[in-house]
Amino acid sequence: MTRLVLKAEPPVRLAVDGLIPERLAGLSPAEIERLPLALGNRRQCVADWFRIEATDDAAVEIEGDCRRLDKIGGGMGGGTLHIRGDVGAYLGIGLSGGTIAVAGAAGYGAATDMRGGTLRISGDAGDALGGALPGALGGMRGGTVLVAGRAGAETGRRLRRGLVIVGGDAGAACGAEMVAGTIVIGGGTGTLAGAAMRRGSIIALGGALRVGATFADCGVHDLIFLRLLARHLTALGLGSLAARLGPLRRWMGDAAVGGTGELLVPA
Amino acid sequence: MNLAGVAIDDTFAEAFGMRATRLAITAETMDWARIAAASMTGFATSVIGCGVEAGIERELAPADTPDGRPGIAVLLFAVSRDALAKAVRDRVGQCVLTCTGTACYAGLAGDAQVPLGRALRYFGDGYQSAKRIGERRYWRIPVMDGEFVCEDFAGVQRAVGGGNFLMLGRSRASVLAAAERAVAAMRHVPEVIMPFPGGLVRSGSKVGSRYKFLPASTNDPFCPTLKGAVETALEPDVASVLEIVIDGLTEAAVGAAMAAGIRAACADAAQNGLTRITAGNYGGKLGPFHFHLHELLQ
Repeated sequence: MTRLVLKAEPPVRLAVDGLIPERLAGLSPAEIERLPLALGNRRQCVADWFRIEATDDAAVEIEGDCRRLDKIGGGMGGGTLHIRGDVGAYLGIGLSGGTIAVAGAAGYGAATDMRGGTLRISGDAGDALGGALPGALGGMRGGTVLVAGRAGAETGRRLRRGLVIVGGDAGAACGAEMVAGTIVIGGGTGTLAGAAMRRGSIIALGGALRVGATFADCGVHDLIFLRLLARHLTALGLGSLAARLGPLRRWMGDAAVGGTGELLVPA
Repeated sequence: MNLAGVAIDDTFAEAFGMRATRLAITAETMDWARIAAASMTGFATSVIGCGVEAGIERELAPADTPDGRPGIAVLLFAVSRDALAKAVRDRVGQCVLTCTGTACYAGLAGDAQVPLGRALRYFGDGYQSAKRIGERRYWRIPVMDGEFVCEDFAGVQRAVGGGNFLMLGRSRASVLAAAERAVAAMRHVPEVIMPFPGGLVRSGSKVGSRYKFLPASTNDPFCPTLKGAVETALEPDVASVLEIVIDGLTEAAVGAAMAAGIRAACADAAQNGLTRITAGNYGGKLGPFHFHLHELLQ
């Protein structure tokens, strides 16, 4: 394992999207220390902020108070990245493979533009989890995001494909403008859940606050696909969440955009 | 060779390469899964007249199905991937989609694919939706009792069709009893089906006929009611012949099923009147898979 220990909290945002397993593989600690980093608009190097402890394992671990570290695991295509502590914005941006596991909370925009792999956050996630890059029509388009705690507003906005799971509550506009994919919320969602969604599923097991008028109540159903999903969640270690996927009320929408998506809530 | 008093001919069964898929059909109960499976594997005894050969492979416990409900695994065999695709589309569309509470999943990965839900989704008239769960993609098609869930594609692999053996005996009853024992034993062998009714064929055929329009006709050398009039393959005391045809996903599976079937047929032979086991072939010129009876039973 390559271990990077943060020496001190940076005074401004520090972008660390280069510190991913495929980039660090095969490099000596000295070579890693010379890799460039951007501290705000200043060019610095890894050694300025991290102490490196390397072994021959391909996994990478970042330790310390990482709340001002942005784009951790950005563009990662494989391997394993562990972060001990809270992280900053855009965790796992553009992630396409491998696993990122955070033992803490994540800031704004985790899993933005994600295409594959797995992102696990043991604490809360900020706004725009699994969202789109600024100006992009499509958001996350593959992979699995698991948040044990709560998620902020606009979770899964413009989601195209993939699975977003939040153990606690999600904020407003969850799944807004969603194109496809699946969002599972263990708690409740705020207002505007699924606003302007075209397809896909938002499963809010704690209910949705004020379901939009452009969603049609299609009744309570025991849907077979939820059993497939339950098996998948169980395989991900989420057996208790899976056990709650029984008969649910199906709201279809958003009719405002001719959508045939669904918002599934307790009966 | 002699097995429990039954003569085993020194011959071989000649089988052919086919394309096969396995589908897992689930339903609310095993009874309804079986109804759907029986319906979709009906009229699928021979590719010559049905375009596909299909049958029930085994029952699936809830723990072994994707949606945790009881299910049935069926195998379908055809001469090409295109023929298999047509059969899958038509049969799942008419017999599984229509059957209450069912869902249909791919049962093998294979080296190629045929459309499954992808070919049926338009029945949803725009209300169908795709759902990717893990690495697999499904279609949800709204129907009157809920939703028909169907996997996007089914895997296709190379397979073996036309393994066979014939049981000859002194009476229809004795040969039937032996054949039933054989089929019961063969149903425990995975990756095979016996596509004919009850697993048995009484109308073994030969290539060609005296009628120009007919490509195959009755196997007169094995018809006991003709044995005095044609160049018969039967001994004077043989009054009945039944054949079992086996299609399998692998050559080994077909061989294992044939061996299991022959051994079961010959059990208690002294009482049941079975006299001889033989097999059908075309001189080894047509099919690449040769199942020599003596080798199978060693």
